[in-house]
Amino acid sequence: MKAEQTYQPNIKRVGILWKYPEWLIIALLLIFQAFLVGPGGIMCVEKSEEGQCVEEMTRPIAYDPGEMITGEKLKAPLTEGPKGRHWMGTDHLGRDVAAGWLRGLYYSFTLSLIAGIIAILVGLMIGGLAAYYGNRFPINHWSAECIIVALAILISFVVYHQLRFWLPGLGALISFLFFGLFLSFILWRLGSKALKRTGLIAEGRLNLDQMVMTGVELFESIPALLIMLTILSMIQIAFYWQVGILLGIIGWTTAARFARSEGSKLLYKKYIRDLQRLGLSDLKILWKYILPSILPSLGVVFSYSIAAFILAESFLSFLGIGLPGEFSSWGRMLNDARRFPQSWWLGLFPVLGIFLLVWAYHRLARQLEKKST
Amino acid sequence: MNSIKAGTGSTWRLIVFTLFKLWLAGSICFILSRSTPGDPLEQYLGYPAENRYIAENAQWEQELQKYRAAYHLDRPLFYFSIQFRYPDFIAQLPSDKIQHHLRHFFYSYRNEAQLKAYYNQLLQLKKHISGLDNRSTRNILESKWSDILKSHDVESSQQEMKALIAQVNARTEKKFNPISWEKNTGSAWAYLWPQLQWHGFNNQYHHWMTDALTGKWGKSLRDGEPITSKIFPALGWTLSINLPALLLALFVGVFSGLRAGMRPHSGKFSRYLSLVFFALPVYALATLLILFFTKSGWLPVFSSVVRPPSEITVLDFWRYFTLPVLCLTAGVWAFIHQQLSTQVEKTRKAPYVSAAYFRGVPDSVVKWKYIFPNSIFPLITSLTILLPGLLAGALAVEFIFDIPGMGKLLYDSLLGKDWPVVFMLIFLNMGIIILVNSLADLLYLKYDPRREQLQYKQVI
Repeated sequence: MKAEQTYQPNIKRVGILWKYPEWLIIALLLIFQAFLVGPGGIMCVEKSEEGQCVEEMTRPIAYDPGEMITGEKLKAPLTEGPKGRHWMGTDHLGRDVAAGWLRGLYYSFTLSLIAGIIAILVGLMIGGLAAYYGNRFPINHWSAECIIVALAILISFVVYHQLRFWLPGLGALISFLFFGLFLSFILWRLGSKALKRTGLIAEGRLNLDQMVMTGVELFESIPALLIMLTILSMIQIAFYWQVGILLGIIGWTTAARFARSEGSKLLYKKYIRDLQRLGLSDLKILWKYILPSILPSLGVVFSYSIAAFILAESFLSFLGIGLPGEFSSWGRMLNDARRFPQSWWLGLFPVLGIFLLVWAYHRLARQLEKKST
Repeated sequence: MNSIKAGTGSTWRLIVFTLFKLWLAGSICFILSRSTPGDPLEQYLGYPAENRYIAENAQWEQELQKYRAAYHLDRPLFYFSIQFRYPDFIAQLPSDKIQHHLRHFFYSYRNEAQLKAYYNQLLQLKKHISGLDNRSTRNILESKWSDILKSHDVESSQQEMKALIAQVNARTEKKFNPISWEKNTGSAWAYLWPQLQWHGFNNQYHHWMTDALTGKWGKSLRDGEPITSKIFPALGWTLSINLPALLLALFVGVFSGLRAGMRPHSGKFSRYLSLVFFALPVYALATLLILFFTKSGWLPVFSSVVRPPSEITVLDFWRYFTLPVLCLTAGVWAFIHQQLSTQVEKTRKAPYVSAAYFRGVPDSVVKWKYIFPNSIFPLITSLTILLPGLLAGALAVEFIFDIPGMGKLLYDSLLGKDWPVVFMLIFLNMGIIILVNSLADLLYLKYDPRREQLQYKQVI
């Protein structure tokens, strides 16, 4: 007998945060951060009609993240300070550890999220292409035309580089654009005709998979430290999320490897081949059939890579490269802690913070892994 | 998440492809080393002060030329070049700044004779200015002279030249006449067409590749020491902490992973421990250990005895390397344990394992001959990822415990902008990674014939 299907609200889902206590802690800390830390350590409870504060209250953490109090150096946790209690003690410059710790949580969390999103987008695109086309990337494809146009733009840029002696200013730029368009048109027509004549275009296939994986391998073998330092020497970091973007650009290779292996597993499935034989376009198959079926395992790799970015950011800050000095970071707090072995709280709390975030993401990934298999 | 390796069909193809990848790695290193911001030699020699005597600047430039020749930096970049036509004497000038300035004039007027006269006049002016007695006017005029070279606008630099000549004429006996430029009315098409030039084997790329392959790695820019005498001791230090860590982690990890995989419900402690170590980065663990051990004083924290690894006794090793090796081991062990235990859990359920049990094969034989060999393949893949990572990734441990290994060397040379050392290290790292990956591919081809069949069987 078939069971009657009725709509039942998913009661279990309401209490999902209780199943993940570490996520509950992180969510509470992030949501109530505006309440816990604030400018001056003072919060307005009641406002008058003119917008002025009538009643003030000291916040639970009564200190700003970067505020140095000269008399309060290396105080143990829970000691009373001039404004309020130092919940996690103070460091060697008299800064409140708890305030800096909370800001560090915020920076780490958002930074790694941004880096993870960028890495997954880039990695998915590159790895997916490698998996889908495998060793038979058709040369007479639209992408081959893209390559030709890119070549034309490169050549015309070289020409422009010379031409700016002749026609200074805007004239050179405009003639460069026209020249690029003209050149790409000629190259496209002549190139495709020549290829057709030789018969290469019907059979010509590129081993895109091997090319991409070689590229990934070589990119991985360049130390991230070098890439980071080179980029940092060229630009000035003004916002914390810029570091996130940089990390994402450096760390896309894991996601690409993953997308490639998952995608190539899928391509052994019969229904994908059937879809191809039915004449669906490649882009449509990629977007409508392959992407949705790798989404659950994508969650796994997303959480793992975010955890890796948290570790990377704090390690770079630990070396003094990542976030600039005005942003409080767990990595730099740890590095400072090495000089003061007697004050255990300087080392313990940043380590606990890193562990909390990374553990949360790892556990999320494990749960997703269980569900997807 | 173990990936199927990129397709390499036969052993021959693998060897050719490995050589190709090595060449690619060398070329990438070359391109990277030539595109670093700033001239490393100029940094090494120190910049000349803006308004110093020109005589000193000339000396500085001579020194620079000497070093350029020694590092082959005065040679063309590649075997051939595609260049636009302009007079040869411009290309032979030493300074890029003057070349650039003169090319602007050349493309505006295309008058070679006048250009030569203009260049000679510039040199004469420089000579006369540096012969002036009054120091302050000399400095002012010198700065004006170098301002002319900086300008890329033909019209304005002519005006500046006129003003400078008027000032110099007022102070010296020899009188200069500003050149009145005449435009060459001939056809300009010859200059629009690029020319292909062949430079032969005496170029920077050829020198870099042959030197890197034959071991002539040159000298460090920071202290002038040969790079080989920097890298190989560092490699010794790195290996002497990494190898014990890797072996220890493998030894413990194989036993604990097999045990946890065979009895998933009894191995909870090792499972949670591995999860904790997986989430705890090496530098955090090392910092915590340092905080603990400096307080308790049980083990020395910093390996302040910096001696080459060959002279270190067993006792020294035990005292100074216990903490770094343990820190490294924790992470690697967690990795191996997790990989192996999940794989063993999967293999344990395979039909051939049950069949072996039913046939009455002893438990230990099933464990070591049936399950273990069939569950280490993903571990090999992971080790190929892990091994090169260990070489460079021991940076955290080396940084914290102050061990002069490869990671520390890379970090120091990066911050000190010691580019020859940096790019040799990267080339070495890339080479090791490529060779290890190819070796893994070869092992797969030999020991797991299923791989070959899997590759692109049904793709598209």
